[in-house]
Amino acid sequence: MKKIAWTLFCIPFFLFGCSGEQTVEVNNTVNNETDVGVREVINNSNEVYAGNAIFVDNQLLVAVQAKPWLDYKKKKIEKNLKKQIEEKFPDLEVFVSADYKLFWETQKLLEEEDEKKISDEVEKLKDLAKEET
Amino acid sequence: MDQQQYQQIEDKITPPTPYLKNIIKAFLIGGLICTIGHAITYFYIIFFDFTETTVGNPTAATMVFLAMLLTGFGLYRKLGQVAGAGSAVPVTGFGNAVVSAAIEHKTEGLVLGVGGNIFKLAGSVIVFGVASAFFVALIKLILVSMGVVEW
Amino acid sequence: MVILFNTKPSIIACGSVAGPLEKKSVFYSYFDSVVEDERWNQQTNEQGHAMMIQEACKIIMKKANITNNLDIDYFLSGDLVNQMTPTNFAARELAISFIGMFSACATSVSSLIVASLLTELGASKYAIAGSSSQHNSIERQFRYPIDYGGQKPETAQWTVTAAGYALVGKHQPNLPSIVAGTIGKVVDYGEVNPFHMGGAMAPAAFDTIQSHLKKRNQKISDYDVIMTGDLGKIGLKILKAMFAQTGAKQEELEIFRDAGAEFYGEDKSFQSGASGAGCSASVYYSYMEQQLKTGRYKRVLLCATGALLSPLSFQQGESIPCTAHAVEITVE
Repeated sequence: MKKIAWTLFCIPFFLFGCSGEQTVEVNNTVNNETDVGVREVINNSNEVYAGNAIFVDNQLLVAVQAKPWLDYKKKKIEKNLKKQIEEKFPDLEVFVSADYKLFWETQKLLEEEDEKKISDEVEKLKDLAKEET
Repeated sequence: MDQQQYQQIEDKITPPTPYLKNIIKAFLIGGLICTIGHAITYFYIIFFDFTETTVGNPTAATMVFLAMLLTGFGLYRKLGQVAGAGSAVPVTGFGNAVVSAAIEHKTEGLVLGVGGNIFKLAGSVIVFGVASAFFVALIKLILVSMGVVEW
Repeated sequence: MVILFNTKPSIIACGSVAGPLEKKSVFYSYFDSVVEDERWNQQTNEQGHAMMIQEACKIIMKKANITNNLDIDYFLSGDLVNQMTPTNFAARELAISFIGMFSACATSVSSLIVASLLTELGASKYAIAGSSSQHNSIERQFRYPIDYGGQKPETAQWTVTAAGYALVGKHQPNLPSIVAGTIGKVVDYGEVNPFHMGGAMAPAAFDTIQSHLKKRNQKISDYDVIMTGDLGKIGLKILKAMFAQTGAKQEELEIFRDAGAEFYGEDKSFQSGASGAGCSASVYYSYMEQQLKTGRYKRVLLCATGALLSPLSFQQGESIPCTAHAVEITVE
């Protein structure tokens, strides 16, 4: 009985794998061109399985999630994406992060309507991401 | 009967260490402890202002706190008997080593007892942790200045 | 060397106490007193350890109808804590002429031999002999803190919280009497693993038992039981294998028993069994004494084994020297 309970308890841990397709969501209140461009860049990167992009004025905050096993390359992925987006849209101030905190918070921001709130939140997240300790 | 003959008898009778069984148990229980740790990581990321870079500290502190409670109630040693390295390697094992030594030496007073002996077991973890961190950083510094890797 | 006791000093009374965990012991019903608190309501484990010794001595005095400590001539005892402070402190309270004895876990028998010698000499009317151990204070002495989550191998043994003491006096019929004793050599077959005491001590027990039998011109089957101290389940198997190799038959091997192996029954959580100076003492001076008194056994050989190591010595890579002392006890 005990053994069966243990096995049942352990099974979910083996089943939690990676599944589903790449999801990219963009909050764009500016224009369509950048929207499509950013989507393309994230879609083309095969190291990322999910991404959120938030536009505020001329700022762009991109939060992505690296695929499992590529977590250790996070810094490189961030750098690459940033470079690609900046090349496409030189006028935008781009910030890319692969941190889960930013991904989680931007997920919430996608539904946020209040412009002011989004801008404040983006500033706060950028500061957070820079913190080391 | 000489020493060699005795050694043969002893080896024949002494049960062999069940390495495979120990490894599997350590893997499962160590993995379970780390899963709990990861759940705590997500908890701090989602409900507090911590990023993946900064969440390590509060998570480690929470895990050590939990290990402290388990140690105080005498449960961690029972876990350790089953899990072996599985409960010794995660940070909870470090917490257990510190707290068990502190409890043990409470009777010799706060300064010479608890203070002097609290790192009796965990002290070598700190010493070799600091020393190996130094050498890893040194190797990385050399590799970076040679241009092999970046910071 | 075998010492023959011509006057056959007798064990007049025995006292044994044990801690709360020892309720799981198969010998539980033979102990005189079991205390709920391992520290005996004292501040420290070591004070509790000393209280346990005093308690056992008080029980003996009550059983033997001795009211004054001064009527007891000698107190011979030992334990495993550094400098044997629990025993020393208990001796301070008892105020009986005292010699600290140390043969590690073999102290139960070595002290009995010395007490018998003093009695034989006529120097002692009553002498108390025995030893004790308290789990918490011994574990911290030799291994890790109690609550440290280390993994113990199957060969490890559990230090008991127990004390066993015997009052030795002039020969009296119908009481267990000490006929002969062998003081063992220190034997070291190169075992270095402090979690495999049984394997380290078995050669010492083998050596002592064999030399006792040889000098006494006896066979194994002359005894109703030969009981070793704390070899544990694995150590006892090794000892039997050693005797088997020297030609002992299967029914002779059945005569061998071990206090440590039987102490906690088949409970797997104690690994190979019990150990500690209190293990052999509490079994010999409760269960064994009663078996002799009721006449179930007529002649027994008690051979307590001791591992003479310290945490320092095994960390420095020294092997574990071991000793064993044996006494032959009969009842008429």
